[in-house]
This record gives sequence, structure tokens and C-alpha cells, in this order.
Amino acid sequence: MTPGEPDPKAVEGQSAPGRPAPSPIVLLATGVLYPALLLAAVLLTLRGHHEPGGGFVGGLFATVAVMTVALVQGPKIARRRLRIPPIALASVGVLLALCSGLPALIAGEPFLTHAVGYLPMIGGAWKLSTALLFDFGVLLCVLGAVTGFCLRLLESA
Amino acid sequence: MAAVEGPSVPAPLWVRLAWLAPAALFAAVATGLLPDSEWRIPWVPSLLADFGFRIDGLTRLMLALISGIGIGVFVYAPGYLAGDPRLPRLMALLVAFFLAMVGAVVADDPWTLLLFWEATSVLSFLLVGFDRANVRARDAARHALLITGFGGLALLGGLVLMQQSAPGLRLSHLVHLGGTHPGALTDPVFHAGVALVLVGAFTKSAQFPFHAWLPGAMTAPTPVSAYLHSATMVKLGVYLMARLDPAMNGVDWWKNTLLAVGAFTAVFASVQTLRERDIKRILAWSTVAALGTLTMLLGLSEPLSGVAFSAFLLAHALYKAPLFFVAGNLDHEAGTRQIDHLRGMRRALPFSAAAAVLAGVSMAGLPSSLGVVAKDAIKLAEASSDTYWYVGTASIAVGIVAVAVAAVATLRIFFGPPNDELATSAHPQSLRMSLPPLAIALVGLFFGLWHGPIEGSLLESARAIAPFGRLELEVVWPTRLESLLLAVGGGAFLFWQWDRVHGWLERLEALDIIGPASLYERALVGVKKGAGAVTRATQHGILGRYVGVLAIAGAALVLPFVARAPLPTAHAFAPADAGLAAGCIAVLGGAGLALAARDVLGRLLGAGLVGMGSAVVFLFGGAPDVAFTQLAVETVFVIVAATALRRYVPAERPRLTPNWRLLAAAAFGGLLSFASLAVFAAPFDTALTDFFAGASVPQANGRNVTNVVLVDFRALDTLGEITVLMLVGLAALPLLRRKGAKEANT
Repeated sequence: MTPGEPDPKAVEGQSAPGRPAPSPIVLLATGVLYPALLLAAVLLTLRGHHEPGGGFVGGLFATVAVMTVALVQGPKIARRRLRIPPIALASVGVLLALCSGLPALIAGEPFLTHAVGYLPMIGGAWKLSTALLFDFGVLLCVLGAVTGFCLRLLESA
Repeated sequence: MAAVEGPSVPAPLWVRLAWLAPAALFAAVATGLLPDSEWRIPWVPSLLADFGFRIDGLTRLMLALISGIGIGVFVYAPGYLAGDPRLPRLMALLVAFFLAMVGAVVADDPWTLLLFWEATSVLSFLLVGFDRANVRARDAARHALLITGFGGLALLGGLVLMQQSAPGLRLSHLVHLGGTHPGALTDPVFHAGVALVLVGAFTKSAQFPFHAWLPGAMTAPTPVSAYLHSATMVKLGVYLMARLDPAMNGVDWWKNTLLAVGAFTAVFASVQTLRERDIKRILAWSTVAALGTLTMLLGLSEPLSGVAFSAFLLAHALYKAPLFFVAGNLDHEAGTRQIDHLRGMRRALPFSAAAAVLAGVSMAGLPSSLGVVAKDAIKLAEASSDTYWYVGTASIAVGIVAVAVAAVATLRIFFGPPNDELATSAHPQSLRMSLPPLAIALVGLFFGLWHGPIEGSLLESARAIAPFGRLELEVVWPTRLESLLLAVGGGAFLFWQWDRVHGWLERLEALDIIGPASLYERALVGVKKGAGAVTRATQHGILGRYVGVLAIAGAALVLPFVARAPLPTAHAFAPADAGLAAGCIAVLGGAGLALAARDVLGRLLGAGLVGMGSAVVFLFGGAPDVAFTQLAVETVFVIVAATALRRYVPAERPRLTPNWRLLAAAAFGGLLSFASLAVFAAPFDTALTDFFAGASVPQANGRNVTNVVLVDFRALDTLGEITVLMLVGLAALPLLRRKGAKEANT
């Protein structure tokens, strides 16, 4: 969405002009599903190293979240709620994954050898690793590439 | 190309002083600051490829040419395009070309050479197409790039073959190949490599049948024609032949090919010269003839070829560059390059007239010029019955035409009564345009009269080409006189009868119809037609046919493997699991729904149900990770497909008939089911599973093996995959234009 075309009516929970208003039940469901699916995406990615999950599945869950909004309220509002252009998200994802391999290079190990560190926190130490950074890069790339494609499909139809 | 009208832009300082770069190099060469030397920078040691450089006599000669003519060109160009806003672009390209050319002649390692060689091709493309608003310039640039690009590929292939036969081969090894790579000359692979390299050299040096791009390249600005397409770049091909010659001179096919191709090119181009009216194209064809002569000279026996080649290389650059400059000055002054309109120009362009006369004397090969040495060598070879009759004949024919062209470029254009119809500008031409041709022509004539200062350099260069035997050429005065009389007499006759001969030759259209130039045109049209036919046949836009082709082709690919696989045994789910059963029922139900559905959306939902059912099967079959992914993928797929189907328009043309559809589906589904059952029947190799299960936690601190493989063990692959995913996303955006919106908005 270009910054130069403000659309005062299009706020969260409403539909863009020119579309049939979705039923209140579907709208309510979207309001719950969007944050829930995004949260699920993040959790899946976080636990991916030990339990079923990971960046790819996380990215797909996040895509479903965005597409739910896009299908119910239109691609314009989906873009607005995403804030960052999808293809920028995808590029940032690839860069993030790339950067997660750099510490290994600096340490003189093969590129993308992951390191682990533990951060003391309330309720036990948090495990942080460059592998997690890599996984979030995958998430962003999948989210960006697939939503960018789907939103454009919706808009061109 | 005349200067464009418009606001005059002063040239930046670097443009005006660019000539200092070749001047510095020329000073270094002339004062002996570049002794014989070699230096190497490691590049890919495992492939025996280095950035290898070397300087010897031939390199110094080439460097002197590149820098010496370069000074003239870099002084001339700002005058030629004075006030033109495109001048900095021209100069930047010319400087880049100068550097690429220097790199190509000091390169010792074949890959270093290839790198700079290709750079000169690309820069030549950009310079020929410099006037990009002109469609003829663009066509000529494409022609030049396609031919020299093809030659670059041949060169690459040839160098690879030569390296395979003689690992670590460098250009400096070719002088004593028997010492460094004893078996190479008896190896047919080496000869095949040399043959391909020769094709590359022929394209660069415009040898028949790859010559047609060079006259076309005359759409380039004149400084470019003088520099690239006469004095330096086109010499790169013969330079490479000269590098190969010490190793190959004893080989019959090499000698015969050089003699035959060189002689034919020289004669063919000389005939074409007489068919032109444009002075620049006349010069271009005579350049092709000179390149043919150089190729022919290399085919002669060793002691003769070295000196003659070096002398003629130098001589040609010293007379052809000034003539090109003069052609540019004429174009500037009179607005035409047609020799029909140009006469008596000596009043308007006195400096150019002087330069043309001096260069013309050299070109005619009069005794006071360097060019005569080449003729001597050919005469000597003929006298010692060392070579074929046609070499001498070709040399005489080329000599006669050279005299005639020299006469046209001087007498016809500059003398006689002026043509009053030509509007000539009142003010004299700038020093930048009148000085370089005069200076270079003077140098050429000076060296012709007095070999002293350059004799040593020429002999050093000759030693690089022909390291063994005597180098001095005996001058046989009677034969020299005889050939001189023949050339001057024939040339004078031709000059006298120029228009009649021209008219007669112009009607020889067969040369155009069967020539390689028309072959190129036809090939270009053919490629477009062929591509169109293939696209229409394969990209018909009927989705059903795409799927049908994919299914049948996939089945055909799987078939040979399935045919050899052991017969699958009956497979039972050991404990009848309720979850697995539910999944299977969903899969079957989904398939039934897809078959029974009338509309596209119903089929899509059926297919989605099949996917969900498989996710359930995975979940209870011990692969929760795959189940998650399958679930998410299936959801996203249904969303994407449903969105895409909003644009779906049923094909108007008939799709596959039901029978074909049934066959495709049955073949694909049946064979794949059979294949997966066969895979289950084979014993399972657990090596990888064991390794990853064991290494996952200690090496990668993760218990989820699937994820560990993705982000750790095979992280580089994953990085590659997400990069591809991003690029696909990026590439899809322009294809799917937003409705009603022009700007690409991501």
C-alpha cells in the first residue's frame, strides 16, 4: 500500500469499502485467529529444535494468519496489519539466516556452525542459539514470499 | 556520426587528461622499464589456475601499439565528440577497453587471458552500440557480440581441452612445449583444443567466415573504429595465433588452415573493398584484408613469419589508425563519408590531407615503409618453394587493392577541384582532431625510412613467435622491385578504373546472397521463428494439458525403475490404529469427493481433504513433524489455489479427452503407488538415521532430528532454498500486476 493513499475507514475490525461486509461471527473469529495463529507460529519456531515444529511450519502458520485476514477483510487491511511489505520480510529473513552463520566464521569454524548460549532468567536458564536466529530467518522468508504472492493474487483477481 | 545538436557541455578534466594513462604506459615501454618478466597471483590452485602475467618481446610490441595508438585516440575522442554530453561515457568505455586490452596481452595464464578477452568483446559491444538511439548501431553491436561471444565460447572450450591434455599449460610454455608437456603434440585432444581456440581467434580477428561483423561495426564513433576495429582489438585474434604458432608451426593442418583461411579472407575482403562507396567501410574491408594477411604470414615457416608478422602488425596500425581519423574528420567537416561527393578536400582539411598522404604511402607498401617487409617475407617463402602458389597470388591481389585504396583515400578525396555542393564549416578543425592522425602517420613513415630505433623491438617480438633460426630477412631487390611494380601498376589501373570496377562488382549480388552475412541474418530470423513455434506448442495455456503432459512424462520416467523393482509384498498396518484408520478414511473420502464434484472449488476441497487425511496418517504414523508441516502446507495450498481459481477461465479449446485423462491419471497414480510399495519392500538402510539420531544432541544441541538437519547439518542447503523462495516471490510480483494499479507495490 502506498503511503500516499490513506483510507480512513479501513481500520481493524472493519472491511475495506467496496467489499460486502463479512458476518460479525467471521469477523470475531478472525480477530481471535490472527493473534492466536501468529503466537502459534512463534511458539512452534521456538520449540522447533527439540519438539515438532520449526521455522518452516512457523512461517506457514503465520501465512495462514495473514491470509485469514486477507480473505475476510481484504488484502488492503491484511497489508496494513502486516505493516512491513512482504517481500521486505522475505529479504530480512534471508539476511537473518545468513547473519546467523557469521559468528562461526569469525570464530574460525565452518560457515553456519551454530553456537549455543544460556541466559539466566527467572524460572530457569533460557537457551539461546544462532540456530534459533536461523529458524526465525526461515520463518520470515516463508511468510514474506508466500503472503506476498497470495496477496498479489487476491489483488489481481 | 556527426555531433548532435543541443547544449554544448564542457568536457570534465579527467576526459581531457585521459591520454596521460596510455602516455605513461608508452613511456614505460619505450624507455625499457618493462623487461622480460613473469609474475603470478594464486587464484584457484586446485584447478592449476592463477592470475598469471608475463612480458616478452611480443607483449611489448602489443603494449606499444595499445598505448601509442591509445594516446592518439584519447586525444582525438574529446575533439570528435566536443560538447556532446555522451563524451564522458565514451571516454570511460575507452579507458576500460584500454585496461582490458593491456590485461589480455600481458596475460600468461589461459583463464586470465579468457577473462580479459571476453571483457574486450563486451566493451566492443557497448562501443559499437554507443549511438543507442540508432537501430543500425544496435543491430551491428548485437552482430558483433553474437559472433565474438560465440568465439569466446569456442575459446573457452578449446582452452579446457588443451588444459586437459596439458595440465597447467601457460602461454609461455608454448614456445618450448616439448619440454614442459612432451605428450601434448601427439594427443588428438590437444589438437581439438587448438582447433577450437583457432575458431575463437578467427571470430575476434574477423577471418572468413566470421568476418561480417567487422564492417558492420563501423557504426561506432570513429575513435572506436580506429582503436578497437583496426589497431588493437581485432589484432587480439592474430596475437593469440602468434602465441600458438611456436608450438604448432610444424603441424600440417595448422599451417594449411592459416594459409588457406588467411589468403581467402584477404582476397575476399579486397574484392569487398571495391564494392563500397563509404570511406569508412572501405577502410574496414581493407582492415579485414590486412588481418587475413597477418594470419597468412603466421602460416609461413618460422624464421620468416616472426619478423614479417611483427613488422606488418606495427605497420598496419600506424597507417590504418590515421586513415580512420581522417575519415572521421571528413565526416565532421563535410557531413558525408561517400567517396562520390568528396573531392578537393585538401583546402578545407590541410592537416588531414597531409596525414592521409603519409599514411597512404605506408599503406601502398612503397619501399620506404614498414609494410614492405611483409611482402618481402612472402616473396622469399615463394622463392624457396616453401609454400603454395596461392599465397603469393593472394599477396599480389591484396597489394594491388591496397595501393588503389590508398590512392582513393588520398588523391581522389583530397585533390582535384572541390565539390561546391558540400557545405563545409568555416572554422578550422581543432588541434585535437587534426594532430593525432598527422603524428601517427609521421611516426609510421619515419620508422619505414629508418628501421634503427625499432629494429631491436621487432626482432625481440619475432623471437617470441619464432624462437629458433635466423631472424634477419634478406632483402631481394630484384623480386622486391618486381612486386612493387606489379602492385603500383595494378593499383594505379584499379584507381583509374575504380568506378567501372565498382559498378561491375556491385552487380555481383551472389556474394551477398550466399555470404555468411546473409546466413547470420537468416539464422537470427530462424531462431526467433523456432522459439515462437516451440513456445506456441508448449505454452498453450490449457491447464488440463499441462497436467496431462506432466503425469504421462512422470510415469514414463518412473517406469524403468518400477520395472526392475522387486514385487511388493502385501503390507498390513500391524496394530489396527483408530487414528490411522480415520486418516485413511479421510484420504479416500477426499479422493471420492474430488472425483464426484462438479465444479472446481468442490474438487479443490476434496483434494484438500486428501491432504488433511495424510496429515492425520503422519501424526499417528510416528511423524508428528511431517504432520504439522503437511497440515500447514495443505491449508496454505487450498488458500492459494482458491485465490488463483478466482481468475480461472475454463479453456475454450478442447482439453484432454476423458479417455486420455483416465489413462494419464491411472498411469501416474498406479506407477507411483507401485513404486512406493516397492520402496517399502526393499530393506531399509538405517545408516543415515542412526548417524543423525546419535549426533543430533551432542553436535547440534537439538532433539528434533528433522529440525536439526534443516538448520544445522544441512543449514547451507536451507539457506539456498529460502533464497530461492525469496527470489521466486520477488519474480512472481511483476507477473501478477495489480488490477488498475500501475506502480509495483510490494
